[in-house]
Amino acid sequence: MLKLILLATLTLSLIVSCTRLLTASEALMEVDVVVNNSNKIGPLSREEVRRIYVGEKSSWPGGKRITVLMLALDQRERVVILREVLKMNESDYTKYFLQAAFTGRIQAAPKDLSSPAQMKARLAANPNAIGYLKREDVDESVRVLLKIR
Amino acid sequence: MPNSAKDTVTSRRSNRSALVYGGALALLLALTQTVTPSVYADDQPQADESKAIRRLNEQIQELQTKVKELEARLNSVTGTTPRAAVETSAAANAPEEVTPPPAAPPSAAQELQDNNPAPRVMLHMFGDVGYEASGQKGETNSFYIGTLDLFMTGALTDRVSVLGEVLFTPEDNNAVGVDVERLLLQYKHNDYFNFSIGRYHSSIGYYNTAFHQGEWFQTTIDRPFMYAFDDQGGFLPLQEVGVTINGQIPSGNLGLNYVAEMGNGRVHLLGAEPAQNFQDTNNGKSFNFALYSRPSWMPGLQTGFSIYHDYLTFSNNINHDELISTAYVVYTSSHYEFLNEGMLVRHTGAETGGRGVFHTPGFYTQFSRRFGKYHPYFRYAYVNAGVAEPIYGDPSDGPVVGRRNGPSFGLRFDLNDHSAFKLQYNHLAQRGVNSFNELLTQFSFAF
Repeated sequence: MLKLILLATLTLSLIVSCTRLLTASEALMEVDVVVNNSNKIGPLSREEVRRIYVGEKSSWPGGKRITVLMLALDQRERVVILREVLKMNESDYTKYFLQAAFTGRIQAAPKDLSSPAQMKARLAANPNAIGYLKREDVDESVRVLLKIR
Repeated sequence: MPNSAKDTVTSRRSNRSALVYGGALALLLALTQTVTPSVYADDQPQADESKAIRRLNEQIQELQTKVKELEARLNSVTGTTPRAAVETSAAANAPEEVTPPPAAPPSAAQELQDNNPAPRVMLHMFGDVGYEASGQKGETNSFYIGTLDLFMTGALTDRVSVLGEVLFTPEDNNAVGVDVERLLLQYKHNDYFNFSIGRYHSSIGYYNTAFHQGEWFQTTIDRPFMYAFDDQGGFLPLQEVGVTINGQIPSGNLGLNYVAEMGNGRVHLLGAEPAQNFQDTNNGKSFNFALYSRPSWMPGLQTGFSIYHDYLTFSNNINHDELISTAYVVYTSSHYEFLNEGMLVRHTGAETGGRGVFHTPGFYTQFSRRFGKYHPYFRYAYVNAGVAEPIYGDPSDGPVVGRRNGPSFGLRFDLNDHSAFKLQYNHLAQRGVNSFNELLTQFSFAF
């Protein structure tokens, strides 16, 4: 009986370990919220970034419209931003923007880009865009507004 | 007996050794948890990425060769192919992932393209089907189709957009009617001032602003009594034709927002067209003002109130003053939904034109907790319009509101991010009618 309990405990522990290993890559990832280098906005708090990403804040202090950029579904940085800043999972995010569009609050969800390279290119081309990159992808072409983890 | 004792000792030893080995294994697993993530997190994806980059580079080289061949062929056919066009096509073929472009100076063209998208329509479709069984006398158990909702938005400029919503709704005679539910021209100046004109859902309370026709959005199958639409026995002016302005109020952590609306109001007859789309029955306009707070220190909490005023003019030119006040506290998050709203409708002037003040109170409370894809929920709703109420109590003017109250229990199951199945039980008590039970099912979807 004791052996059975022990075996069950070990199996459970193994399952938990494997699950944690699978999600650890996102947990360990360091992501920076960034803008174009020419954008002179100061550092932002998580709450300010959240408000920008959910469409509650749509323009920079100078009045220019903010272009919000997201990485596509399969990108690990997206999971970090959703969980750490927006406090949502993918389902919540889909529902939120569908409902926000339906109530007329916003036009559409942020633009999805397929890769960090595309994100960097878009940020470099648009001084009013905001996005995020894995910390090792950050270079002098962008300016960091918020460090996550 | 000695043998038995020996067995016991052996068994204990084996148990102890199993415990020791098990403990060691668990310790090893715990160490694995803390040490290995960094290794797994970085090395494997890097190896995969470098492989993918190599593969993509090979593909690019192949594509470039093909493009050169095509260029050569094209030049031989036309003789004068513009160089720029060929460069563009080659650039379009090159995947951006492989060669990150150098930091380019900010491009006004890209900014313009991002902020001024070419006019195009985004179309969404919502709908529901189901089955309902009712214990009410005169009602039959039926399959039904709900409202098919076509929702469109289009940006004309970065500040001006159009919102349209067309409904195909089954009617009591089994025909399907078409209804322009919303049609709004919207101007967004900034976060503090937005202006819209057209037909909209009035900002009375919370529910009518958060949930519109798409049944998929709401947790329950139907709306609370006080927010029922006109074709389901509703009595509040939930739709308006007029102008609306809304925006945020600089208020720091309080997160204050306002809405001010002016519209045609609605005709006094319940069950008639809910909004006066083309011509108002009087020169007086309805006014609505709403204020709400979404404090940043408690994400998900929203509390606010609204005050609506209008004059309802009967065919005998008797004016009835209508004042609708609502207040609410709601909390919504990934896992919880807790909605609480109350309202008080005040009508003045008796049906005969004499003096009189009539109050109709109503409220509902709704609670839901999500467990994975399951959302069990409970709601209790109440509304009580007096018998002598001049607007809500005369059967010759439309359905009588009367008193309705009762609980609802249900379960929502999210099949995926775009569809849900709901099962709901209602117990409904009404003034002058025997109370009865209902069992409703619904499959709702959104695209």
